Amino acid sequence: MKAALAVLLAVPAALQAAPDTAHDGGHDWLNGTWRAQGDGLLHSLDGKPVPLTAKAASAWARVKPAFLAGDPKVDPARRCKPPGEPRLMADPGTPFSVIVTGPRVLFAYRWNRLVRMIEMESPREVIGPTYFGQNAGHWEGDTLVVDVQGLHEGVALDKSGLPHGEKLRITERFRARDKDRMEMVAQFTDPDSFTRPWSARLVFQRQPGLTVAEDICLDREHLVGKLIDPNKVK
Amino acid sequence: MPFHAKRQERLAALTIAGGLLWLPLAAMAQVSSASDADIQDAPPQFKSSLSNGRIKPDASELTRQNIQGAPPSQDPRDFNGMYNFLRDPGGSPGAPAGGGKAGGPPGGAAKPGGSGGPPGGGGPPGGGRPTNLGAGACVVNSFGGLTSYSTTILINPREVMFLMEENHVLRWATFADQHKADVQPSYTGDSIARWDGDTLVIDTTQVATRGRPGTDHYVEKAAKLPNGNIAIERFKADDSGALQPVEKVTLRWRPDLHYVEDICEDFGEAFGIGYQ
Repeated sequence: MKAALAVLLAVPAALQAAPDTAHDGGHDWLNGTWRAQGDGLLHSLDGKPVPLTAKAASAWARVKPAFLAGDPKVDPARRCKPPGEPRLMADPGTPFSVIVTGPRVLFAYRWNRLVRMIEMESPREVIGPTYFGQNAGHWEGDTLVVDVQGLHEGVALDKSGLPHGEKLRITERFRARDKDRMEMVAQFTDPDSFTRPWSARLVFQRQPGLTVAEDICLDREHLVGKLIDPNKVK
Repeated sequence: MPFHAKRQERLAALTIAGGLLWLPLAAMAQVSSASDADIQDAPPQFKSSLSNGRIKPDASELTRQNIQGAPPSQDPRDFNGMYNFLRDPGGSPGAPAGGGKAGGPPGGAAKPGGSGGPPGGGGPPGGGRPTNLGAGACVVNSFGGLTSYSTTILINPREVMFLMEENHVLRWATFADQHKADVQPSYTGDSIARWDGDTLVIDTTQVATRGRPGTDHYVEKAAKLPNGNIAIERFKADDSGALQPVEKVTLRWRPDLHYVEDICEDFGEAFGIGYQ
């Protein structure tokens, strides 16, 4: 009892009185900083190859070696363009923090301060496409379900350049495996790129004590001094 | 790029309507000259005022608004929402201080989407050719200000985040008693938050400014007003450590807005300011 009281008193008074919009339904488990496990690639859950259409398979074959080699002429992310989703989330080198509030859930990535805004409402008319798509979320018990549409077709699904089209729709389900691990299962539907819907799983490890520090890609990549082409700026 | 062309096309009307709404009084005559097409494309809760009551939003539009159309929470500590800024009388003139005003087309072209705030945020100070250092280069240069596009505030018992739409600058404060010991200087600094009554106090140290040695210490006091707006006073510590007022800004409650991705690096490439 004394121990419990001591813990309670140790919590800053400000925190105790802060708005409680994040705690409706016990969704606090999602708050915190996470890092993907694995190789940063998407693998079909059924163990089979990703069911690409012939056109998408051809497009992937053309860019895959350059993506994996980090060629900035082919991979926009090497030019500080957003890698998009789910590629950025799947990258073990890029931790991200999640902030849960009642109306919104925000994924804040270390990578160039990028964010993904999940609005907790029904899917609405798409304004886009955008790099992180239009994200409509809802809770099913303690599972966060996100409907993603409007993803810019220039964004690869993973670091190998896995392609998709404008009709892509992703349904993601985030749940806690245990207190320090999170699982996301995503179903991908895109009749232009896939012959059937397929699913992939990502697992994330909580990063206690880690915060998302400021990152400026153009500085990090030493591009600041190389940006101006005076002939193109009138 | 098709991507931007499409976004511009779909958001242009909304931007025009939103911009008209927040113009200074001297320009309000333009509101009455908004075309029916502009009004039809405006956020539903503004249609009536834009058309002097002639056009009412239909019920389906309003219900579709969902969280975006909801009234502000009556909880004085619930800052969650979308806002754009309105400088208070007595604030410093010009753009918000240290806004990291990166990106955007040169020459102050209007940005598609967003809050419909005053244009001209992009480009270098004083206009002219964009430079690598400063306003046109998609980098953060100094203390993250509250810019003319939009600011989303997310707050929960652990932390508060100000997300500036322009160049996606994040200001992040944790509810903690003291700053971390090992924090390094950065353009947005290290922020901790606490409540003083219903006033949110954010203390930010280790704030760097590009091209200038040393760091600064800021304190901001934010209070929610009955109409949902957020009034912010910003102070900066002088050499003696005493806090001196810097500016006052009101974040205007904007339930009609959605967060819109702003990727400066795209605009930069489109206008020749990018990786070549």
